[in-house]
Amino acid sequence: MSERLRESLSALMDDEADDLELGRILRAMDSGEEDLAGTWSRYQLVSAVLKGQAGTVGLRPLALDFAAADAELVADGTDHGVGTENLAAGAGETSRERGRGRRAFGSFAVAASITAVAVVAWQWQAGGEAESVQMASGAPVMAPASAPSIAPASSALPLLRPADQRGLLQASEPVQLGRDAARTRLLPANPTAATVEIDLREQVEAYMVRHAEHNALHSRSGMMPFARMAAFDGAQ
Amino acid sequence: MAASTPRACLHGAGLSGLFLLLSMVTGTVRADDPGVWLERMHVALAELSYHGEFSYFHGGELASLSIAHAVRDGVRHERLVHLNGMPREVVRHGDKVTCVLHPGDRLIDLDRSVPAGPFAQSYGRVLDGLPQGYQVGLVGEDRIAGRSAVQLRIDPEAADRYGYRLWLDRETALLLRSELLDTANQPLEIFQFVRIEIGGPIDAAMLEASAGDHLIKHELLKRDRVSAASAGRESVGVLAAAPNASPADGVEWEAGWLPSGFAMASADIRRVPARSDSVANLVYSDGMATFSVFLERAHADQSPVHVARHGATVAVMRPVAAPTAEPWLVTVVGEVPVETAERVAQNVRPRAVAGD
Repeated sequence: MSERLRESLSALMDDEADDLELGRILRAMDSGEEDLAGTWSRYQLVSAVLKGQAGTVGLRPLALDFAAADAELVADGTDHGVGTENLAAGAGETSRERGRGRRAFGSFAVAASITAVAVVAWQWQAGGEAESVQMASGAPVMAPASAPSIAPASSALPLLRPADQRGLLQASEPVQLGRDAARTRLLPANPTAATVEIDLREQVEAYMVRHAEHNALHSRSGMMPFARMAAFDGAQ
Repeated sequence: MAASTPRACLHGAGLSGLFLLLSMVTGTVRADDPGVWLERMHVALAELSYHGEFSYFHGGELASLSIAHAVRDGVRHERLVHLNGMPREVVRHGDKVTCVLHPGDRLIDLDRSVPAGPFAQSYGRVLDGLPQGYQVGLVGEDRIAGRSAVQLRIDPEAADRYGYRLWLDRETALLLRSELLDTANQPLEIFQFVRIEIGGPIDAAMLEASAGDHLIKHELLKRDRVSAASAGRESVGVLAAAPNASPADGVEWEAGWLPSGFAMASADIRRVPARSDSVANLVYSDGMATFSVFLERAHADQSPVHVARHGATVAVMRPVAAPTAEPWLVTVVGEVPVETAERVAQNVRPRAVAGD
């Protein structure tokens, strides 16, 4: 890994990366630069520690979780849905739905590792006891050591949403979100819950498109809000 | 300064307003009045002819788009083309806006899941001069896309909304660069022209949608009719049931809490063809920021609160109590801090209606 790339990464961390540096990082991702993800994660961790936020904010990139679960899924193909029902989002599903959902989840994870677009953007956060417990017990801040096999698939992913990562580091949202309870991202610890998340995600994306359209039609800045649709990328 | 001296002279004469207007026209005020710059910006965006390319940084993604804009016989023509990724374009002729997409584009699926327009006519307040709830100031000079620019700051007075930095063309006041800033002053979204030509002739072909049998076009229409019941309400959003909505669908909703300065911009109800459900849609704006509130029946008991964000756009989805047997879901989407969206979502409630 070149010094220049490392500097670009660092600039990205500090929110000072210019377009050239962004381009450099994106190219490195495309070419499967080794240890890009690892370096990024280390920078994140260092930054979090410096800011005293490690342990309160899950630094584990969402995509890693998908990839991890996917690797598990591929590994034995059995139902890991046991215990998912206590997650409110997964309650009430039949096992058939679960099966369908798991296939969908599988392809979602594959899409994530290949295209790595429009996936990491969504930091799902959910209020609830499960998450609070996770926080209290100190969620692991890095990729789970128990799933080393996921590293290749996920090598590029953590880098994709620097703005989101930055948002996490600032901890303004995960921590202050609402007045209910401390919250963290809903980590897709099991495929079933993840599937429900994906359905919801699409619904919410659809609303975001609608919002952008309405804005574009009515705001005085003309069609500029249509540029926001750039976010909803690619074919599925 | 140019404005204040003559105003003092005419104090009490009732002519100061007229004089101010005159001095705007003659250009004696505009150099240092941010409100005038903002007003000129809106006019420039709508009335000038321009074409060029701009970058758009949003949610960690960098997009490039080209834009062409012209006014012919009093009608706005505009075309926006995504230069990266899936080919997408948006074309406007007057109030008719058409999205042109290629088969397989994810937007097509997303568009189907919420019914398309016609969009309710927005009756939000038109900005006159300075937006409320913000401090506006001139920052200095800069250079964008090879043109000399003036930089404006629009800082929110409270942390319940975002701030903006705008770079306007010194000559024409056209927006050349904008940044949407979070509450820590970090940019969430950057829009910037890399090349622009202002005022030149625009070839008609530049304003026409691409042709091709395989392309998928869908039209967005503005609707002129606005529910009279909901017009004019400032603090409470009301949704009038659409004529073809079943009684069960006719739950009327209102925002129990809004950030100060926000008012309803439109209210609408639409059917989701695939589900024969309807989605209620309320839109609120303070003149700078806008958020939409969507209400629909929940299809499962989705009790957790879900938050998604992409760049400056945040979405909060949560269950809401309704006077029907089924649970409802409220989703607030907008370019506002998540705390604001969350609080709005928490306070959406069925409106108490007499009769009906």
